[in-house]
Amino acid sequence: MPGTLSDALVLKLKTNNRLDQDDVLAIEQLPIKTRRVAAHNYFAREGDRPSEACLIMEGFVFRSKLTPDGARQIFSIDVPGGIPDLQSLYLHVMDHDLTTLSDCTLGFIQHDALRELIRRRPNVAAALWRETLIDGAIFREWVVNVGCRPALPRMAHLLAEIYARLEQVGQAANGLFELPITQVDLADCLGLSIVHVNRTLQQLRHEGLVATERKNYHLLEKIRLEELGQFDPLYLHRNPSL
Amino acid sequence: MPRYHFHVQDGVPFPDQSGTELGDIDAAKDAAIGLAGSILREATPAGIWNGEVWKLHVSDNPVMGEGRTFFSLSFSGVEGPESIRSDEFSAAQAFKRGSV
Repeated sequence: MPGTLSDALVLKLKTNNRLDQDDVLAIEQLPIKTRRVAAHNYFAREGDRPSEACLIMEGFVFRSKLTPDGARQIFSIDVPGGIPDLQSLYLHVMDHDLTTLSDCTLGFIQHDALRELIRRRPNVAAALWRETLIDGAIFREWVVNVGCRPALPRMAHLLAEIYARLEQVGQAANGLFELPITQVDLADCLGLSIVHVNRTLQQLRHEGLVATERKNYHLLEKIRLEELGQFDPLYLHRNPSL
Repeated sequence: MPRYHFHVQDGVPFPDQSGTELGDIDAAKDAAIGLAGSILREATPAGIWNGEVWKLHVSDNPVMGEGRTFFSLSFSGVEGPESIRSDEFSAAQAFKRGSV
């Protein structure tokens, strides 16, 4: 677990991007206000005009949209080190909702401070730009997942992705990770009913691919699970030198 | 909230051991139709054109065939003219003549 708020950001940005010592120093000097937010709280809603960006230090956040008749689609689960509302730096009105999936420690950074950092450090600007592009790549993959894959591979793909992204920030190893997600939220990530999510998880357990115990997930056969889910990590763009 | 178990009988039975809590029987019926639709859309059940019936049993028990069955949904395919009942056939004829 990173020691300070900016460590979470530095760790995440460094895995996907090239940053030098001065860039890291500049990120570490960002003024960040810490706030604990309990699970299932909106902290930015469609129509809001945020003046600060939110860095996830601990816990999970999800992005979603509601239709006028109350149906909800979740289109990303954000892991520690991410800034899920980075787009609000330049797109001033929120076009979707941000909600805590679990209890979270969040760091809020004033937009002005981020803009100033971006002007001063081109590597940081490139890194943040790249992060939002990777976000877009993840959304594209989620559209394919929900639109094109049957329930079993769809669930397999989601679990494989979350594992890969947590592993990148040191929060998953040996097939093990924690994801305190309810079946309702899982259903809205996958465009499946709760009953279908339940059945799909039982099928994955039955086939010996996954073991679950509350928030603890164990990918028993990670490669088989990735094959089933057609998971190709290319879209996560983890290697900045490619 | 009551817990409903959605057992699928499709050649190889797949029991729903964990079940799902739902508000009432109507919610369970909606959920069953949704689940049946999704499963059938994704893969044609084996034997569906050879007289086998795909079934979804909804009960209060994690073990298939035990406990109280609330309802079940069945799906089967029948080919040829005998697949339509005579009363359905006359209704269709009446519709064609414009008398309905």
